[in-house]
This record gives sequence, C-alpha cells and structure tokens, in this order.
Amino acid sequence: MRYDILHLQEIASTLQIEGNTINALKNSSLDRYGVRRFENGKQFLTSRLGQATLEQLLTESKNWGGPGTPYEAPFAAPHKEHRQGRELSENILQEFEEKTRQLILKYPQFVFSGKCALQQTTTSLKSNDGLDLMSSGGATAWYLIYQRRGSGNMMDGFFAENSLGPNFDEQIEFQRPFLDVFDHVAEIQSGKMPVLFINATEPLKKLIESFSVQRYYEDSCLYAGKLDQELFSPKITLLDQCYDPAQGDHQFFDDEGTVRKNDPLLLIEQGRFKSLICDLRFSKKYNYQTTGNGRRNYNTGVQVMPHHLRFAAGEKPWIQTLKNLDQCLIVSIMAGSESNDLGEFSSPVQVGYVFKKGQLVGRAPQLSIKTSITNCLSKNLIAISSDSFLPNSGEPCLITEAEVLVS
Amino acid sequence: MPTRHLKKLTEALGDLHLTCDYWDVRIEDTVDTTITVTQGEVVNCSISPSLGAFIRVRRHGFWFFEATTEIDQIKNTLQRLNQMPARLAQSSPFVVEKHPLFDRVQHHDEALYLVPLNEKIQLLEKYEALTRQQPHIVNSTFRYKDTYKIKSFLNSAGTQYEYDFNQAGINGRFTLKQEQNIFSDAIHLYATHFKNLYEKENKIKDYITESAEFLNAPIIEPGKYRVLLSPEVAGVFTHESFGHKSEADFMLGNDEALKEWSLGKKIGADCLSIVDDGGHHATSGYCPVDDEGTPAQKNYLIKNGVLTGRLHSLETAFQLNEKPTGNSRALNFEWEPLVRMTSTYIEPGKKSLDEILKNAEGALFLDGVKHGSGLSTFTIAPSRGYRILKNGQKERVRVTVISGSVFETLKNIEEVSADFTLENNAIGGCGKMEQGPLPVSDGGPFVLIKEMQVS
Repeated sequence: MRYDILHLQEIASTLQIEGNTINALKNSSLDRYGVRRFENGKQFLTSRLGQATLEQLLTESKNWGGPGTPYEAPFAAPHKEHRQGRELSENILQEFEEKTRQLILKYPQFVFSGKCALQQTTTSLKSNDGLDLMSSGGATAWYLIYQRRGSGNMMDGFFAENSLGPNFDEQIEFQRPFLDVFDHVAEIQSGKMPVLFINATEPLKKLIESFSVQRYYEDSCLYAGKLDQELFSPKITLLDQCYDPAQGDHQFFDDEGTVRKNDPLLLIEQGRFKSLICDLRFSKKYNYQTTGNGRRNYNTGVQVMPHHLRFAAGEKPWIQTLKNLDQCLIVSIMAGSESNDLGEFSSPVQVGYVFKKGQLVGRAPQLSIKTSITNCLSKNLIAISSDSFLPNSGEPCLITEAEVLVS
Repeated sequence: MPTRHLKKLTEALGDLHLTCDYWDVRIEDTVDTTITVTQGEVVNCSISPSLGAFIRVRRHGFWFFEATTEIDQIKNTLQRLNQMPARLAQSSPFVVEKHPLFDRVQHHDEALYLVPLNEKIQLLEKYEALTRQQPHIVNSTFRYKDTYKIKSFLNSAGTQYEYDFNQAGINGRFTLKQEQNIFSDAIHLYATHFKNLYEKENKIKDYITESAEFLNAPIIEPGKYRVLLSPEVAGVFTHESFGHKSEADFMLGNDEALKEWSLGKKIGADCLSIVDDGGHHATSGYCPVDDEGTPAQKNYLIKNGVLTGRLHSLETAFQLNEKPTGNSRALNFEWEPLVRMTSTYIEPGKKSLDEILKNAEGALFLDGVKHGSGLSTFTIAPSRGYRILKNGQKERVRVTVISGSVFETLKNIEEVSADFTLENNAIGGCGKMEQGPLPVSDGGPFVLIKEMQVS
C-alpha cells in the first residue's frame, strides 16, 4: 500500500472595507488534508478539514475511501526538499488602512470597497515511499473596487495586487490618472482598432484548452495535431510558471510531487507550438512526459491544469508602443466573455480606457470587442510589451488589433 | 457524519454575556461527494466531510470574524473577539429582531451521502456511456456532485435555527467534431432525492442528438435582434441583469445609487415582476433562514415594472434604514455572509407560448446557458440558438453571447408567457467576490424582448 498526504495550512488575517468604511477584520487558521491511498491498482481519495494525526487520516481513508478508482500510472520519484519563503510584515494591514483612508479623502466622488488579506501558507506533500516536499511563505492579496457616485454601476474600476510585499503607493499613483479622467467618455468609432488586454486569459481560452494532453490527443480542441507547427507570430512566447515567490506562488512542486527541471515551461516558443501540459496519469496513457501540471485541491482528484500562464516579455514597454498608435483601447474588465469552438472571441468591455498617441484621454464608451485567437496572435498582433500594465503583476500585456463595436 | 449541533451550542453559550452590539455563531456540518467519469473511465471519486464554525462579533459598528474547525472553543473565541480593541465609534443601537425557533432537519434518513458510492458511480458511468452512441462525440466528461449539510445557528438576539440541505446533480459536458466543425455542449440534471436522477437515458440521448445538429449550423451575424428567451435563459438574465444590482451592499456609502434605485420608480415593462424567495423547497436556492437568522420571505424586487424592493443583510438593512430580507448568505463555514440571491425569477404572465410564438417570427429563440455575468453590461452565453420562422418552425444558428444594458432591456420586454420553470444546479452556482459557487436557482417564463445585442 502506498499513500501520500497533501497538507495545506493557512493562517490569514483580512481587513475589509465596504462603502468607504473599514468595517471588518477576519482571522482564520485552517488545516486541510487530502489523502490518496493506492492499493491493488486502485486509488482511494479522502479529505479532512481541521487538524488530524496520520493515524486518523489513514483510518478515515480505509473507512471512507469507497470502491476506489483504477490507477496504474507511476508515482513521483522520491525526493526531499523544503523551501521556506519570506514571512510577511505585520504592518501591511495598517498601511492598507491608512492608504485607503487617504484615497477616500482625495477622491470623494468615488466609493471604495475591498479587502487586504495577509496569508501565511505552508504546503507539504509526503508519502510513505520517500516523497517529502514542503514549501511555505507569505502572500498579500489586496483589491479595492470603486464606484463613481451616480454611475449606477456596481463597479467602475479596481486596484489589485498579489505579491509578497505590496506597494500601495505605486498602485495608487498608477491608478490616479484613470480616476482623474473617469468623467470624460472618449469618442471612438466602431471598427478595427488596437486593443491592449491587461490580462489575456479570456481571449486565449481556446488555446489554453489545446495545451491539455487529453484534449489534444482526443482531437477535441482547436489546435489538436499542431504540435511543433508554427501557429503564431514569432513575437509570441507563452510560458507556464509554477514557482514564483515574488508573486506569492511558493509551491515549487505540483500536487502529485513532480518538481519541474525547467520552470517556467515553454508552451509556445516564438510562435511555434512547443509543449502540452501533462500529469502522471496521462503521461502513461499518452506516452508523454509529465510536465508537473497535476493539480488538485485537498478535496478533489488530480486534474491537468496550467499553473500561471504569461507571455515572455517583448521588446518595448507598453507605453512606448501606444505612443506610436493613433488610438488604443485598454481593456480593463470584460466579465462575460465567450469563445466559440472556432476560436472566435467576443466580450462586452465592462471597464475600458482610450489612449491617443500614448496619452490617456478618457474612459471608453459602452462597447464590445470581437477577435479570433489565431488572428490576434498572428496577423493582427501589434506587440507583446516588455512590462506589465498593472505595476507588479509580472504579466506582459497583449496589444493586438480587434473589431470594436460601440453600442 | 453530519449531526445536529444546536443543543450543544445553546448549552455552551446559554450563560454568555458579552458587551458587544451583537454576536452570532453558525456551525456547518457537511459531506460532499464528487465523482468524475471521462471517456468511460472513473478518474475521480472523493468524499469530503467538513465541520466548522463561523463566529461574528459586532462592536461599535465594527465586525470581528473568525472561521474555525475547533467547535469546542466557540465560547472562548467569542469572548476573545469581544475583547478586541474597538475600531469604530458608532453608537446608534444595532437592534436585531428575535425570530421563532426554526427546526427542520428533514433529510437525515435520506441524506445523499447514505447512497452507496457504487450506485452513484454506476449511474454516472451509464449516462456517460450514452455519449459513445453518437458518432461525432470526441470528448465527454460527466461529473456528479452531492451535498448534505446541517446548519445550526444561534445569535445574541436569541434566534436559533437548525435545518438541513440535500442536493445532487450531474453535469455532462461533451464535444462534437465533424471535419473542422466543433461544437461543445453540456446537460445538467438535478435532484434532492437520488432516485430522481434515474431513468434520464432518453433525456440525455435526445439532448445529444439535438446538439449534433448544431455542428453544421451557421454562425449568427452579430447585430441587434428581437429575442425569445427560454425559462433557463430568462432566469440567468434575471439573476445577472437585475438580481445583482438589487443587492444592497453595493449601495452602501453611495447616496447617489440609492436615489437612482429609489423604491417606487418605474424601471421595467408593465408585464414584468421579479421575485427573490429562499423558501422554495427542493431547489438549489432553498434557504429558509439566512446565515444571520432572518427567515426567507417573498421579496418583490420589481412589481408590474415598478422597483419595489432590494436584498438585504442585517448590516445593509441597518445602514439603509430598511428591513432585512433573509438574503445574507455565506458559501460555507469559512466565509462571512454577504448579500446574495436565493431563488430569483420572473413571475409568469397569462399568454401561452404558442400565442407568443405567433407574434415572434424573425426573432431568435435562445435556450440553454453556458454562463452569464452582470456588471454595467450583462452578458449571457446561450448554448443553442434558433431563428423563428413562419408557422413556429425554427432554424438552428450558433450564438456566442447576448448582452445589453440592464435598464434598457427591462423596458424592452414585450411579453412573458404563462409557463414557468425554476432551474436548479447542484454543481455550478453564483459567484460574488471570493465566494462561489453558491447554490441558487433562477427561472421564469418564456420572455420576448424587443431588442438585444447578439454576437
């Protein structure tokens, strides 16, 4: 019998602001365990919330593991490694409170709500055959959403940062021009125009599906059968990064215990489809080496998922590219987007801004955008920036031409 | 496995006297079962029990929260939170009404975790195998989830409740491919008794057969269209377009929003009435008492086109000087309650669907929902579209997204049918801030709308 135990320990303090009032403090300290027992070619999954001994966990596994599911794949090689990240300063919540109060005073025409959470997390994965992996570290996740008084909207914009050590001043300074121009709605016409996606996960949805080893070999995704082919512009290099302590990602192994030799993983290299993502189970089924993408919560089975996708940095900062464009739409929030199975993407833009020759001129009117994944990464591609749009996000942004439909 | 905790809780806290404005304790004892079958193979089968408490203390207008699994320490935790330094100086009394004891643990003997795992797996395997009868299906994943939960609650006003929640569902996703055409779709099943998930073979087969017809359907030309929404799409429209805007927490500190949302204002067509009500038993929106002890009630948000109400927690009702509505809900014991919907729907009208169809030639009929969202512009991604031809005949078209401005669309409603369906989902739900998916239900009649943006 083999077993492994994923143990997530999280201690968190969260300060909340609601409607311009700092009104709640939440503390939590929770232990979560995910137990996998392997016996006679089967896998048995159980989980527990709350502290427990090894004996308790194994007893529950036997009592509650059910009939099990077939498992014939290999296990991660025995390996011991512990990495300790930096702990957080206790003054962060106080600083968040002070900066938020200053913001409220400076911008009385806006109403701010949000949270700042300090999380100290320890994740370990141990097995009875020599796997002993542990990572720990702190992360701060904070956001403020704002409503313009009288706009009638639930949300007119946001600040957000996930990092080891937040820089509230830098974020506020960056957002100041956007707050200042909020009341001016820029004039733009429907038609093709340059668009900057702060986060390109949504338009890339059908490409991301194609990275899954299962979808790829089942021939049920857009780019099935196109591995090693040149699909996009040579400016496109897309990575999947597992370990990134600066962004608060301290876990250097996947949830099966695979530690990547090369992290980040190159998925698209200079436009060429370079790699799929795979876990141990599918590595056996499809004879494809695991890429350390077997991921699970403490209470679920393993699924093949990317860790943190991002573009490799391009040549110029985004503002330099925008200076050479007559106009550019910045897509800040686009909740409700959808991609069809042909890779055509459309979305209303909930919050957007317009730059002309590199100058912020106003908020975008109500509009929607339409593009296709293939075009936006090839013939319509303008640039991948060398920097992130939001300070500290670590994500270079996609600037491409898209169809804009002003309502 | 889940048990009652209210008696122990009242005994432990019976002599507790704190100096705060208010306190409450919510214990949730839960078992979730999830099973996944992909391409004929059971790839996941797990049981997740959890037991924990969410504890709140309000002092001078400031809330202290704690989530814990140490339920024997609740009294100590309350006392500790009561000693936390005051952070606000609000002095107006926070008066919370005491409600009668609500005790409705009714599914204990038929809790879904009692159904043998083998029985659940066999059913899921059988349903997933049906996809292999359709030659164009290249991928299928069927997921089963059930939840049984007992909630126990006590607050400083003396309100106590204990009730259970039992639901199961299957979500079957599949992808069809024919040459270069790909079409993805999903079917959902829901029940509060396991036996009601049986004998769905024909429903699944018919659904897949219809999906296959979309492989070669033309893609709709983007533009503005007259649309007829099915009850499922109408439900998501109601939830996303208007329901979220009725949540009073987004009006806190924003007098202008309150003016714009002043009750009595005409905001929709005369035929439009929208309700939220957590009292609908055997639905995923069932919430007979909210997570602060306020009983469910039938809340008219819009009645005959007029804004008549909004959704509240104790705090938002206190801040806005209105009454709590039973809409303060948390995802589980790890989270604080937020203002959330329960079962939200458009009330039916009087005309039959056939009568409406006679007047709907040229409109797009939209059915099934992949997802929806609602901010300044709401959007819904319907799974199937049909152009309504003469004599009620329909031609299939592929639609990606419909979207629009909430207020314009509410005024553009032309007709609502007499039919009515409340849609439930045991796997998906509503997301708000960090908390999701929260079980909700939504629905309504068939709804004819003069114009919507379709792409």
